[in-house]
Amino acid sequence: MSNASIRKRLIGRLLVGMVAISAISNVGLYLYLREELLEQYDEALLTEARAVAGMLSSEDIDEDLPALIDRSFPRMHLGAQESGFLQVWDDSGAVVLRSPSLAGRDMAAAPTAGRVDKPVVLDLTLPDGSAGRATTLSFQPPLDDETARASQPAQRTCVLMLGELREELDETLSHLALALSLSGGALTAAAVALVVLGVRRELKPLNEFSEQMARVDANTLAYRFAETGLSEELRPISRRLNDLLARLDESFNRERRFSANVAHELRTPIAELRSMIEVAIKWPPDEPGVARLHAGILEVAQRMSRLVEAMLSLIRLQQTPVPAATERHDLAELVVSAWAPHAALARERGLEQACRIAPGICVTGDRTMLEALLSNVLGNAVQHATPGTRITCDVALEEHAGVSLTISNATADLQPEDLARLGEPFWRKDAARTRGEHLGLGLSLVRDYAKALQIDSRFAMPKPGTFEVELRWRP
Amino acid sequence: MRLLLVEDSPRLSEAVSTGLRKSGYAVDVANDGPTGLWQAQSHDYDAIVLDLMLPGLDGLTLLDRLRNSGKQTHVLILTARDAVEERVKGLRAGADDYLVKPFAFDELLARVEALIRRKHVVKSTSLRVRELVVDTAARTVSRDGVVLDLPSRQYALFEYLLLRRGTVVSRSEIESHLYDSLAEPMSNVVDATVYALRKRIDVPGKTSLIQTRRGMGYIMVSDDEAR
Repeated sequence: MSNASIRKRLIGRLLVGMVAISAISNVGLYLYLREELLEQYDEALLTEARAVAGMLSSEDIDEDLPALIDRSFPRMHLGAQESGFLQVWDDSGAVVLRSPSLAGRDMAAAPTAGRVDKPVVLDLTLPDGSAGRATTLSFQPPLDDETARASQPAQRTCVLMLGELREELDETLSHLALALSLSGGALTAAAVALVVLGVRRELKPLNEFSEQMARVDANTLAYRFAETGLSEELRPISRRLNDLLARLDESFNRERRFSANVAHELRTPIAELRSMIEVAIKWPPDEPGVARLHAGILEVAQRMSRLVEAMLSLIRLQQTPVPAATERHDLAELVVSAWAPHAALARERGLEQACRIAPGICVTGDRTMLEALLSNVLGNAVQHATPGTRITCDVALEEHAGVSLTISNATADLQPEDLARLGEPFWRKDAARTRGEHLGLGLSLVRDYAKALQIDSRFAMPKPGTFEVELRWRP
Repeated sequence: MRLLLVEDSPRLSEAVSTGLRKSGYAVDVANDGPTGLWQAQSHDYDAIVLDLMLPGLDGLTLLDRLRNSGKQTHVLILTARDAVEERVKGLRAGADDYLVKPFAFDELLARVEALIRRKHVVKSTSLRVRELVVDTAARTVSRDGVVLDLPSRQYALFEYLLLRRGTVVSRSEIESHLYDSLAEPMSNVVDATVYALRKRIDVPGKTSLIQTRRGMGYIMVSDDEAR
């Protein structure tokens, strides 16, 4: 596709089209009018020729006849030096009558003669080179006594040629052509101006739109294009751009939140270590204080280690393709294995585990990743469930929908509007990040592990106060 | 001077509060937003060190409510968020200073001292009263170039009275600025500390720098200006 501007292409094509249409229509009009003009001209000529033929049929052809014709038909301009001309040949081809205008310019031979009911009109060149247009008629002259006595009236046929120099006609036609050309040219020029101005004016909103778009950058993604007041063609573009900006804005905000959260997650334990050690250096603690200091440093180091491992897992899951695994594992065994590390904390929080999965239900996938996935789901439930409640697991087997596992827990503060953010790294309902030891990466890891294992994951709140994670293995 | 530290990380709040106490401050600690707000509104702290990511009520909202309640206590925000817009947000919410974690403890200390000087409209870290020179940064008092060995509580009392010199300060005010909420000072501890302080700083034959106003409190009297 050409890279030329739409405006230039539009103007170019419109102009070419308009010029072509204008030219064709003007030529057509000229031809039509020319035909009409000639028809009328010829009709007038014929009418006069018939009249003259009629006169010649009844009058003797003698030297007074031309003058008579001239007097009878003054509009034929048959006089000397005038533009009309008349000539009659008898059936032997001899010129028997000519108009004064033809003096010295006789047509030598009789042209093809038409009949009254079938006249002939033709363009001819007079002997002096003048162009003319004439009609020819054959007629029967009046009978003389001898012919009447011979009783052969049918043998005498004369040919009448009546015409006019084309000069005036041609002038009229050229004036017509000129007028049409000039008007066509003026119309075309006006159309060109209108097209150029009109296209420029109508495409102006596009330029304004483009200028608005140029002002949008990474810092102004909250900008939205107005949809009212736009033309029908631009409105859907505006709507789609606004949708795109909304998605980009959310994506940038998510990245900003992630960067800020990562900064916080990494800086806080470092701040803890630094402050603990600086204060201990400045004011060396007593022996119990030293023991507490060491324990604190170790805790922070362990937390940072867990954080780094979790972040590396996230990165690996997002960047490294996981080969499709074909081994099948018993789901009940996987759940038992994934629950084990969280059992102590669950007891501490008074949580009851109600995951009774019948043996024999198998799922496909890499075992390590499946255990990590389930561990994160169960770990999240153990850390966030309302103390003293129950964590349940339900398995559904559907013929065409595969195996589905749903793990539910009671929740005191999660709201439906939080679901959209649950998979975001470091998002926590409680904005403070130092309560307990959760890193805020559990459900992000669940999402990414599930994606890598080609398992569909879904977070939901089927009713207030209940949170569930559904994992569905594709059949 | 009495400070409020609002920080939910137990390890960080313990380390920082220990360091501040060792530096001579009385420090109250709150580990969540609502408690921090209640304490900030209930006491007249010399400065507040405030973390932003708090459970229950985030730091910016706490600060906003504190300012709306009319409290003008100087606030230093402590947070891991260093983006410019975060700093601007914090300062516009009414904070007086901003320190990004992880931080050097000495820097925290210096910024707290600066906030306290600002509270008492003092720009210099070196104050002079009679022949005594007080270095608030080093927390020392010297006479003729010789540093007087003042225990931290006595220094804190001296500094507090010096910053409020010319004003009568009641015993309860002194108590609330020198002792944190965990301390349970005996009823005559202020008098005892004043007595001990006078013994160290007064010059025999001259009127005491710290005068008693019976029934009202104590006042540090001097026409000397800060150097």
